[in-house]
This record gives sequence, C-alpha cells and structure tokens, in this order.
Amino acid sequence: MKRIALATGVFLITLCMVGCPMNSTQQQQAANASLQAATVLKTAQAGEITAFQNGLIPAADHQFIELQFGNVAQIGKTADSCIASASAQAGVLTCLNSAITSIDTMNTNGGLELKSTQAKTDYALAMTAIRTVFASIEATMGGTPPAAPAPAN
Amino acid sequence: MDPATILAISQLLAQLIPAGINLYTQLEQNSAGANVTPLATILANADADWNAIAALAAAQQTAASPAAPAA
Repeated sequence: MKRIALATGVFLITLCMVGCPMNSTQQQQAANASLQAATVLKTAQAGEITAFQNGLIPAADHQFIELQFGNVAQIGKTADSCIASASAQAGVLTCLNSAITSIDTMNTNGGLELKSTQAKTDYALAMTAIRTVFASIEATMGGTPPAAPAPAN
Repeated sequence: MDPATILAISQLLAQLIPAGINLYTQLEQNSAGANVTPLATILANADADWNAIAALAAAQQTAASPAAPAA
C-alpha cells in the first residue's frame, strides 16, 4: 500500500513538474519581469536621450537606438500577451525564453550597426539589463535561460 | 575609455540601480505572499509602460530625422 502511495506521489510530482497548471505567483513573477524590464528600458531611454542631447551620441545612432527601443517595446507587449495566456509553467518559461532570444538578437545587431562607442555602450547596457531581468525571473521559476551570445565587435 | 563615456555609463548605472532595487522589493513582497498585485494590474501597467516607450521612441526618431525642422 505504501508503495502504491509513493509511486502515485512521485507520478503526480513528475506530472506537475512537466505540466502542472501554473500558480498565480509564478505568472505574477513573469508579469513583474515584464513590468520591471519596461522600467529599466524607460530609464535607459531617458539616459540615452540625455546623452544624445548632450552631443555624446550621433543622430543616426540615436535614431537607430530609439527604433530598437520601440522594437523592444513590441517584444514586451508580446511577452505580456504570452504570459497572460500561459496556462502552465512551461508556457510562461517559453514566453520569457522568446523575449530573451529576441533581445539577444537585437543586442547583437545593435553592436554591428552602431557607429559611436558611446552609443554601443549605452545600448548594450540597456539590452543586457533587460535580459538580466527576464533571465533572473526565468531562473527563479526553474527554467534555463538561453546562453547569452558573444558580444559583437 | 574616455571621460565622457565613463560619465555617461556612470549616469546610466545610477539610473538603473533604483530600478533593480524596485524589482527586488516587488519580488520579495510577492514571494512572501504579501501585498501581491493582481496579475491583470501588473500586465496592464507593463503594457502601459511599453506603450509609453514606443511612443517616445517614435517621437525621438522623428525629431532626430534630417527632414525634421530644427526645434
């Protein structure tokens, strides 16, 4: 009898680990990741605009960075929708993974496109900070964030 | 690294640190089960922030465009 109970328990735990309905705290953590990533980007955006206004970033680089910030905003909104519709932990981890991968791609592309050292540094810092927020939450939830790509030169 | 770059990075970091502290505080509150904000509210706030970023980004691109009149 004990063996049956133990086997049932292990089975249920295993089942839960691979597809248990997500509790609200996990979904809220993921949503908070998006909210905080947005806060980080808002701060970085304000810093970048100030740097541009002070002549530290060329106009072309400024335009490119703002274009990418707009794209990150779309990624964030997509992540929000994804998190809202996720019904299991695996689903929300997929949402976070997708956001991280998109941000990594943008970070790499930015390193290749931007001309000024200042712009590259600010942009990489902002993207890395956003990535860190998403990756930290994913790790907290038991996921494995994708490996960060090598920085572009 | 030139002084202007160091200054700009320092300024950016100084702005990012409060955001990190805010994140930690919120997560701590949520993990303790206290003061948990409803999911719909968090997502609505996040969406509002993303929208604000997108709007400002679009405005900045237009303002920095060579075709745009000087301010």
